[in-house]
Amino acid sequence: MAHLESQVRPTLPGEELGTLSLSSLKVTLRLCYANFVTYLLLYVTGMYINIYITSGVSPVGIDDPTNMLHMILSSVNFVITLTVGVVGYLYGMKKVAIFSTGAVVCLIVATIGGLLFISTGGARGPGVTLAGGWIMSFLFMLALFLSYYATLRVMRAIRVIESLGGEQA
Amino acid sequence: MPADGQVSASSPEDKTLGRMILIQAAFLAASYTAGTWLTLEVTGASVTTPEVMAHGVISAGFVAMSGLVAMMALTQRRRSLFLVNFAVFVYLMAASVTGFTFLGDTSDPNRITLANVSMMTGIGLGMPATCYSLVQVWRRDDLQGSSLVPTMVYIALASLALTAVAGTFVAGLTYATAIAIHVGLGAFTVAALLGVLVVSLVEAADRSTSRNGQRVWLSLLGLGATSVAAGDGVVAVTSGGISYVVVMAEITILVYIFLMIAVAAPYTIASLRSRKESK
Repeated sequence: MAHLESQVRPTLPGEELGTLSLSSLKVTLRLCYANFVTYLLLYVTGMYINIYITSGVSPVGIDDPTNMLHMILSSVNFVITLTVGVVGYLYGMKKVAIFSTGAVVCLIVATIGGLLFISTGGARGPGVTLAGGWIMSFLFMLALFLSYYATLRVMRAIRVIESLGGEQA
Repeated sequence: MPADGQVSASSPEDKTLGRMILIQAAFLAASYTAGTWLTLEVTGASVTTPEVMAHGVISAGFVAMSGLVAMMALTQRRRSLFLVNFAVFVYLMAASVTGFTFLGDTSDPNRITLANVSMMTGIGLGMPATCYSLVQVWRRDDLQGSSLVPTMVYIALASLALTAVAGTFVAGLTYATAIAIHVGLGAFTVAALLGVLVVSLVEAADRSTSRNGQRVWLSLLGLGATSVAAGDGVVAVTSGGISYVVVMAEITILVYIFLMIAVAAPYTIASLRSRKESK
């Protein structure tokens, strides 16, 4: 049990090891990796929409296949980021929790930006449409950065626990 | 053997996961309610219609909670819990695509039917899945094989889900055929609810305690809600009023809520205190 392992896991200054078991930490790290794949695919589909559809060729509608794929990927991205945040919060990894929560907030605001973009025409129009697009793009990058830092903290915890002899440390 | 109402063998992780499943179930109920209202009461829906946005946000909560429960189960190495909730999560994302397709052209009858049926099927999958998850996580002694109530509740929820899904076909299939299937499944739901009631009564008598007394009352409430929904359905068919269909659908979710509460019963001061102390 995770809460029992915490009793035998040493507290190191400056390290945030949490109470999650090593195997579960590795699962969390794999989720983080999967999240980066999702970020990449989100970027690719977003760029596709931006360059090939909205650059004067035609506006994008909510039922456009690329747009639907983009929205599905954003759901997966949101769920994984939220999971990492909840893991950090529940298992005593404060920095993982804070940075992932920041990423979740960014993704929520980015989604609102995306909805503004799509509901006001989905083209390279001025005003709210452009602002929605910019909000979406900027906060996507910020969320990516925050998720990256949370992942580094999970990786660090795994390395330290392994160097201390795993669960027997 | 723990005292009545004591939560046994549940770790703090289990209890946290249990709370997440309850939030997931709440989102399911709200998604169903908002979706039914949207389908039956709103005309000319678009992405900026307030009811569409409300339904979208609530449904996104249901999808996110299903995914979160699945991922948390994965980190806790709970294979069956992960598989069930991940399947629901994947299905719900596929169903959301039909919603986006519908919003692309809200006048296409095929898109309307596809969106209605796929989303209601998502609710139908979610009902037994959330109940199964709750039983698995809140590991009480009386839920670990010695009680038939969870099994009967699964059957009742599956039947309820099929009834709701069949109801969405009324506009698409031959009217008489769709109504016959819907009513037949509704009758089976009533039979299953009676089964929950009988099993609760038998187990309460057998153990000579009041531990299943709450389940008896909750089963009766479920039966009562089903009766009101059936009555509304009859009035809707005879009078043709769409408002009765809305009421019928909204009351249906009460049956789900009563069954979800029943499966985790009994609730005592002692059990509530033990949950509070575990925080």
